Amino acid sequence: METILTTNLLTKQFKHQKAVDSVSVQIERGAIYGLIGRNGAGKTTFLRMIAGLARPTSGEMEIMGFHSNGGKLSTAFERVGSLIEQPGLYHHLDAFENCKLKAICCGVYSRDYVNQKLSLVGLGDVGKKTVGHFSLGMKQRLGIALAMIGEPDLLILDEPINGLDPQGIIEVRDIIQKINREQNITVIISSHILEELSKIATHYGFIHNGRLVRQLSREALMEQCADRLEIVTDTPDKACTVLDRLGCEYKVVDRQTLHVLNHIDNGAMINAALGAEGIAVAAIGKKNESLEDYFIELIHQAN
Amino acid sequence: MFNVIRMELHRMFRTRSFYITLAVNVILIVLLFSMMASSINEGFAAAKNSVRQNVEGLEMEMILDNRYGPNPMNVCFSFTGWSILFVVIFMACFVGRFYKDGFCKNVMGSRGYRFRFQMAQSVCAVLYSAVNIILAGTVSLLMAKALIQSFTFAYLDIFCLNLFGQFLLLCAVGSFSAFLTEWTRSTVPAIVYIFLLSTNIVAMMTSYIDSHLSDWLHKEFVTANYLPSLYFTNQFLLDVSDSAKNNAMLLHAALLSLVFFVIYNVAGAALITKSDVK
Repeated sequence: METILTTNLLTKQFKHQKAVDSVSVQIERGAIYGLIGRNGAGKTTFLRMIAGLARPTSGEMEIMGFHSNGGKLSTAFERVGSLIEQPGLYHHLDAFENCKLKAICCGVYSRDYVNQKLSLVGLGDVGKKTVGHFSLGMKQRLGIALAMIGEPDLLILDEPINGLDPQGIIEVRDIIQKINREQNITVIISSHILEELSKIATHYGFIHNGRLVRQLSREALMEQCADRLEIVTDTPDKACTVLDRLGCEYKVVDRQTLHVLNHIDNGAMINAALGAEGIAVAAIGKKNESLEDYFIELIHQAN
Repeated sequence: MFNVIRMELHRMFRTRSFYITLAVNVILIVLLFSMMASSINEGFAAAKNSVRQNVEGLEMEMILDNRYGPNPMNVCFSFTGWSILFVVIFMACFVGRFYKDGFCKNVMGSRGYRFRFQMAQSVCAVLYSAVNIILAGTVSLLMAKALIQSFTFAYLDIFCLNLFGQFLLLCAVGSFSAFLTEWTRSTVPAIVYIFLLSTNIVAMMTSYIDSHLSDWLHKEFVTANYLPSLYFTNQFLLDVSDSAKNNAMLLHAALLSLVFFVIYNVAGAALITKSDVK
């Protein structure tokens, strides 16, 4: 599959702090890439760099075949639409005029084109109401419409569902899935609401303290978060010996906890085997890991 | 480039400050003229009487009526000087909004083409300056015709040349205002500068510098000859009887405007190309 964005050791340093530290990602065309990280992890700074709004301190990037070393990256940025942090809107103008300005900048002068973009995000009937009187959800949707003007191949959305009500979140999710499905636009989306991201993203990147700690596909993530058998015991080293003998695939989580990844339905048998060896089991039971748990564990490991 | 210019022009004509500043300029001229008309009329009448008392002869009357009488250059030129105030304020608000509202994030992703926005804003500065000075000149002429006794349109050509010179200087001043706003991402510095300029505080500061520099260089040095805004407010005034001086002044104004127009725009383009968009 074609790669639309590649970054290699991309770094952004502000005085004494590295906001983004040697981040290397590869994103395929048509993917919905979810960028996950805590506040201040470096998500927005990374997105600003790949949107062309910030200059990297070091590293390289390649967007749609245009390499940063080739000097033609400006051409690629014209094919990128972005919504970074707050939407950039003229509050004294209405939705149509805001979109029309961007459309003129892109060389499109058709009223119908602008109306089509506004209808796509559900703002087709706002009339002459100025943006200053819009709700947060309406502003976010208008920001998405603006990002889509010019028919970008790559859409970058920085926390687009922040501050939205549940209905608004569903609408934005539907818009993103629709444009990805119908127009094959690659979307990079960052969010704190991992539950929502898990519903739409096809690939994930976990960023912490400016570093990309993990990058994996949806399928791989599902596998990581799959059901497992959790065993809590004071002597995990002895338990490991027994599990090895039983042919169990397991992971040591901490000083007292083990996760068995196969034989999930054979909890009784495993418990009996451990008991036979004199290993006291404080707790044993099925567990599955949510995206939040996976993320917290990743952060814990990264720290 | 054309698309970006068109975008900014489209925005300019939909910006309230464009119409408000022009309207306030017109209202200011009308009010000042109304308040000062009687004293202007008294001044010309007194001057005429004084000459009649001392000199007799038709020739002197004609000289008094045309060159020294109520004509556009003697009456209207000072009212067009307010244009500099509104050009600076408008450009600061216009450029400031582009960054303050964050719309720059939507269109400035392509770093290699950011200079187009600088060019577009310069085009807006030129167009606004032209509209403003033409409006100011026209309104002052109309007010003078309506309120000033014996007002004639003698030396209208010199007056129009004066307006043209002012227009050139305003283009440079407008670019300066845009550059200052881009650099600081705030409208405050430009507005503070025009406040200092219009209250003559800048002139006082430069006269202090001029006196010291003149002593040091052993020849007269006037800072106002080298800065478009100061040249506009302190030095630029054509003479109805000296076409050679007028040509020299116009040439000076044109060169000064061109040089600083280029300087401010190149500096502004370099600034927005190199810096991150916030």
